Amino acid sequence: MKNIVSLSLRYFVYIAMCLTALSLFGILGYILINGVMAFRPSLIIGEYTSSNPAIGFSVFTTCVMIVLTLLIAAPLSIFCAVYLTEYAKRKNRLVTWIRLATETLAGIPSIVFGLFGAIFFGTVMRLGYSIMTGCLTVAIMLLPVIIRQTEEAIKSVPDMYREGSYGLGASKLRTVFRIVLPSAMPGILSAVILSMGRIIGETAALIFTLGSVAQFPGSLLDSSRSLAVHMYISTRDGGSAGREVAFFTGAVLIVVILLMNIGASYLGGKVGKDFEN
Amino acid sequence: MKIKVEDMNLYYDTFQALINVNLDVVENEITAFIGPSGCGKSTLLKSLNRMNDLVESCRITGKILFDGEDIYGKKMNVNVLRKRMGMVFQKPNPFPMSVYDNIAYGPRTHGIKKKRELDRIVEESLKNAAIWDELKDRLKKSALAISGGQQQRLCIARALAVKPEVILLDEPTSALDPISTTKIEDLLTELKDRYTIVIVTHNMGQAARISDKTAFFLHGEIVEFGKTIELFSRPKDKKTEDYITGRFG
Amino acid sequence: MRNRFDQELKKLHDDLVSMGTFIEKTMDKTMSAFRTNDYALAREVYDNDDIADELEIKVERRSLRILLSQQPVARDLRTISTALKMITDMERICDQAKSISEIVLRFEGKEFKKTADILQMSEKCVIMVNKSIDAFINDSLELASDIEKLDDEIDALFKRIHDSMATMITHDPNSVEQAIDVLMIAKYLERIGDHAVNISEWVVFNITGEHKHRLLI
Repeated sequence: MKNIVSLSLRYFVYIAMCLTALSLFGILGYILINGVMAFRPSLIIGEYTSSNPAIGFSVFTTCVMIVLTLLIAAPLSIFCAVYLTEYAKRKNRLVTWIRLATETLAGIPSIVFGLFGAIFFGTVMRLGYSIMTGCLTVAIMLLPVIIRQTEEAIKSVPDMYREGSYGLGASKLRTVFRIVLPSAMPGILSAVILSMGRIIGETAALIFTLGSVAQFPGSLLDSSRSLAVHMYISTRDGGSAGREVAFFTGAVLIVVILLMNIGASYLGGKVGKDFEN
Repeated sequence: MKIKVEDMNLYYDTFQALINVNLDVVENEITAFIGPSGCGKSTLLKSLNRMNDLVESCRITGKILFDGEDIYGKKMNVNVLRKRMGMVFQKPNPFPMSVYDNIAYGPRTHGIKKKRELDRIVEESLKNAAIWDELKDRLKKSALAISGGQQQRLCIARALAVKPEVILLDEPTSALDPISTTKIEDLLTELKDRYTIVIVTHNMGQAARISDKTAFFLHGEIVEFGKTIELFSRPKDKKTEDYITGRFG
Repeated sequence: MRNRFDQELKKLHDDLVSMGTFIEKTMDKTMSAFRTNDYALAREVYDNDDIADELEIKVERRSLRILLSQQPVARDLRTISTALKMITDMERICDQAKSISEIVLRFEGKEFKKTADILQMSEKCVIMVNKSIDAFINDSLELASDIEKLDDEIDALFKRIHDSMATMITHDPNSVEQAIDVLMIAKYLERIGDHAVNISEWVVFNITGEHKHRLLI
């Protein structure tokens, strides 16, 4: 009896693994194959026209967005996490409120952020549809994510490192910046990498804030399309040709994310090692 | 008298962890704190260099005098106090960086930046901790890659690098194998000529082997304090006798 | 708490008690063999010397094992060291008893004149040994302190026997052999007294940590 149960459990595990792998590779393969079939060199280097919906500008916009958003969100949320974990007293009211706010924000659908961003940054601050509006909005979306993960990373730094540092007469500031943050760096980096994924994938909020003008942005106050937005609009408006372009864009997205992950894990490994050696 | 504890009480919220403690630590002696878990011995040790400040609910009355100065007084700079009283912990806790950087962390903290000066301090500290020969070729290697016993001696070297007057050790060998333990015990008896040492230990043999004075703690109070030889041969208090002969409980 | 250790200590104590009892019996037998010319009894004492050696080894072995496995401190440490020191004296008492029996056996079939002094000395010696063993068994400082007084009496008796034997030899050259034997027995008894004193001193150490009024540990 026991044998049958354990045997069937084992097969169930195998089947689950196979199904998951199949669907993952199936999707990847389907998009990549369709994307490659839609490939024409002009799609990358060419100027965007209705007959040649090139995506070069969109790759550029996406890259700019990643850098700018992280520049805004990462320092803010990392320092906030440092405050919450290292400085705030345990029973501090403010901390309870900040925690509650971040947790709530993390659960809100991105389109709500988009609406807020469009009104606050776009209208009130007069940034209109622009890269700046988009970046600020996505940055706010990322705050709770990075704060939470950085907090976890900092909390997982063993207290004995802190004790060791204080025991040598080091101040709190020195302990945090020389011991705690370097030890938490791998965790923080992985939080940042994850948020890069969120920036690339974000669509709904960006349609309201970044807008959807198909152009190379001349400045941070210009509207443009990120790859994901471009995909959405091509699929919606472009008919069967548009779908082809969307597949191609999807393939590019996959490649970009793949490269980014490889790069990030290389960087993460290097940072971790540098600190340890 | 290097350290003098006077009528000290310590509370965590409403729980009183130390009750009316009086204790004199003499210069260039090893003073051992023994007692069952939760008896307050580690708590007293951590009060000596104010590591208890890190515990929010901790409150202290009475006095601890270090070279005659009240360490809880307004004029006392905690960072300077901790520099003068080095601490070594139960689990070896080298920072996740190189051996060299571990030792240099303290001196750098206190403003020494010159490479030559740091090199000299690193070598001297490792030599004083009797681990230079084992580590001199691995200074740039991660401190986490060396053995537990070496890590603990590295931690002692790290404490020595800031030129302390007192070394506080909180069960420094409880996580180590017997050979590493012996090495650390030998090291401590050597260091005693230049430093004042206070050690918390669960190992009564260790207290008997290396310490000059022993304090027996029970339920937050010092039951008996005196010369180690006397305490381990003719304890005055029945509770002490029961504890050291293993008939406690 | 510490059941095994306490059991070991109990066993050690029992071993010492049985060794002590054996010594007491040996002394008793030797002295009654001497007084009543009971040669069979003297031979028994002479042959039983091995038993004391066996008992000594047993105590040594147990003590060393306890030292090794329990690392005793304080009172326990004194108990073990007392055991190790005391058995030497106990064993020596047996040796002396054996030597006395040997002399007794040599007189088989001959007449042996016993002076009042030597008889008194033998009785006192038996009492001394008994007291020292009792002092140990009962952990008694009082009994231990009695023994020193008895030893002074023994020493005085030995002196008197020594002098009277010297006189005897000068008056009657034929009695030389017997005088020497009596003197030897007296000397053995005097040594036994010393060993009893030693035992009592270790009993005192066991209780106070002081040996001959000097602090050992």
